Amino acid sequence: MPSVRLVRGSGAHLAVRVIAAAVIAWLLLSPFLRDLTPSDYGWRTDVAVLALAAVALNLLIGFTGQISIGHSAFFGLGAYTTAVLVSDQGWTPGWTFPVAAVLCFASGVVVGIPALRLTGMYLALVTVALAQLFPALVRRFDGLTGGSAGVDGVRYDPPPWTGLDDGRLDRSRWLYLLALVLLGLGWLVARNLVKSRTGRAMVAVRDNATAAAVAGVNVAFVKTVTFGVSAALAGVAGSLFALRQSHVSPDALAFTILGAVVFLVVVAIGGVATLTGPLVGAVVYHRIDEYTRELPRKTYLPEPVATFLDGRANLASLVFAVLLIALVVAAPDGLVGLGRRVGRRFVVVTPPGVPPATAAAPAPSLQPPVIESVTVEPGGAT
Amino acid sequence: MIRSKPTSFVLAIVLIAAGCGGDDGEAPPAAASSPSTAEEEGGDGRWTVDTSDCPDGAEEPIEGTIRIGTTMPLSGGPAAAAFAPLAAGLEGFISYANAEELLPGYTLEIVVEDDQFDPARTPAAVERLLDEAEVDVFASMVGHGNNLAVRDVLNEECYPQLLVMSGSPIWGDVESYPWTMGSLPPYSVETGAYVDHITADLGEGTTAALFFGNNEFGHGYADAFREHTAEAGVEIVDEQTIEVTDSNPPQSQITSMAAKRPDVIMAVPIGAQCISFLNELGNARAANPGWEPRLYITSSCANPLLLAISGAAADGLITGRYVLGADDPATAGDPAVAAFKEAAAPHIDVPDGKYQATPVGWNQGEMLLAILREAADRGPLTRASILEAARTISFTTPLMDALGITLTTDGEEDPFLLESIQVVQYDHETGSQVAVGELFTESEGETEVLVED
Repeated sequence: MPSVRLVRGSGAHLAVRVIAAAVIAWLLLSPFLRDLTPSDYGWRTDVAVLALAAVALNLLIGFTGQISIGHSAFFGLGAYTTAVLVSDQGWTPGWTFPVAAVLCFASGVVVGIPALRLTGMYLALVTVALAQLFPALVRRFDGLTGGSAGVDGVRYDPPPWTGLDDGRLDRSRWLYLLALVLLGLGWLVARNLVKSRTGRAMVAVRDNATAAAVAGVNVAFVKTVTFGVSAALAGVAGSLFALRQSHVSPDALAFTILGAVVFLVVVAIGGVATLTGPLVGAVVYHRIDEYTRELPRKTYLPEPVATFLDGRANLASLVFAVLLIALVVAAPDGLVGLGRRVGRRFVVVTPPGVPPATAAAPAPSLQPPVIESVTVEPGGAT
Repeated sequence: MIRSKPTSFVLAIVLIAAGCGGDDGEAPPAAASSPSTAEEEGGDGRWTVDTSDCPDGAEEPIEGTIRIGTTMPLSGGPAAAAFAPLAAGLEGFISYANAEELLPGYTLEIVVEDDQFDPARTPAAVERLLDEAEVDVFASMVGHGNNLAVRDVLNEECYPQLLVMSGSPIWGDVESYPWTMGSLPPYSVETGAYVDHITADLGEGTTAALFFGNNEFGHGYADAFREHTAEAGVEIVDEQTIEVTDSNPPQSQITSMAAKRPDVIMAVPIGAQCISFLNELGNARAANPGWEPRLYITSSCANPLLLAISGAAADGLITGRYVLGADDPATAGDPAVAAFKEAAAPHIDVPDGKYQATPVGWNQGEMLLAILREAADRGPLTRASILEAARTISFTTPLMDALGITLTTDGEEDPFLLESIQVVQYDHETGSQVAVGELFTESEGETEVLVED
């Protein structure tokens, strides 16, 4: 089937983008028009939190090439900032988001500066240490954080102007709305950063830091600031997480290295260095996790299978792991990458002014030309 | 960094709007206030709960089916190894109770959600139980942090959170959280029994080392142990911790303790950590000839499976027991154990004839049934009446009665259901837990409630 050609900026191209945006908006906003339970709003909020954390991490890993397995620390710092300010100091939760963002930005910069000398695995190891350190610090400074007991009473009742009450259903609706707004803003921040001159500098640093420096890019500035922005977004995700949970404690896996690994997996599943990858990855990861957790109770499973799985909860975890591995194998460049590859078989978007023949021509080969022979004569080779 | 001015503007507006959450510009109190407080007494003098601020349903009669919800770590991490059989035992009892129609006029239905011992997963699990399973009562939820994570919402929504499987003294705070109550001996009761045994057997001047998991469970034990040892004149010479998710042998911690050569060790590992701790302690004993510390270990490690896997390393350890086990050769002939095996046979899978911790789960079911029966005897079964029955009851179960244990509550006067424990010593050769001393009952009605700020 020949692919459909759309010219970028044309009416048809715009129509497709508008329709796609409308579909996404419907998916995100339709819950407010439906008769859903707090549990339904709850998991959607959880997905939004995970997506925002993945957006944050993707800025660092995907667009700057800096590996971090420590973003759980910034996530946790944001969560505890909100928890302590709300529960102990009586702050209105909304004001804690900018505080968490600033605090985490500063922390990210502090971590990013010594990390300038490190790359690859060595940078990853430093961030692992950060992930290990955070829960220990929380327990150590128990006068501020509540130690192992944690902090509870971290809740956000809907403001009066929303028209919602403080019952469980309306609270869950409010949190979901908040999550959408924060995710949208965080995504816009990431998108604008990536599309900006700084974003081009980030990619240049990722691809070849030496060449970027030679070309005039301030590599240290780019790396450090990206670390800070990434940490800030992760901190805001953590703040939202604290309000969703209404209780924070250092026992929560999201604040440990396991949480950092989950963020990494979400980015990888969705597609590293893509703007929509973290969003897709968060949805897929969360739903697979839910699906496999409830696997023994699925009524459509044949009875022998359901009986076998019943009481073997660890097998459901195994199914979860296998599904993730299968995803990565099937889509090594992430689900967004897979979608693009499949989509190009049906729709090709070309820049304006490119003739059809040229647009249909295969991309020039990137293989170097084969040199069959070289003759060296005085004055140079021929 | 944000090149788009409209975006910056929107960001500022949204954050300002989100920040304006207070009614009158002042920050509202952030801590959730409990909607219901305990009244002193009803018409018959018993404690009752105030449901005037409860959402609809707290006083609605439950008819036909009583839906019970719980969360347990069924997968992931060391905790699942210890607690997964609990779910089997509890579900088995519910099946048995229905088959024998032990609560006439009602069918019991139980839904167990897996929260993998992660407190961050418990709220979502409880939401599903409330919204999808539409449970009437929560029972036997495992984990201190896990229960704490949902205590506020269950008290606001007025759902009984009964038989919490944690020994923290905070579960006795009837005034602030009337809908939540524990079922395990508080940490102070268990450690009190151990210190009592230490001073009776070894005398004052004994030295001790403390090893505990770095979570609220571990810290709760540690705090209680420190308090009791200070009163008893036992000196703690070393303290070591382990992270809850750490499955590595605690070699460095035990090496540190061995260097101080304490007379006794109080250990509070969790789940599969019990095995690695015991094995590592055995190695340390072998490497330090002449050092034979007496080991006191949390009753949560006294799981037959964990002890069996630990092998000779578990020999001689001292722990607490409040439910008769079904794998212990010493109690195999006990009528309560025989009755349990006969009743459980059609309802619980027993691989290799090993019941492991299923009697504990079965016993939790027995306790819940006793509460439901008490509530049904007093009048229409509602969420409020179930709670009131749980808070003003005196009963025992077969597997506890065999140890001489009675469970009693009396509103705010006596909020803890179980305050007795039997100190036992494990014999690896026979696989038995042998009682050493009398049943410890000094804490009956005396356990101090921990009220949080």
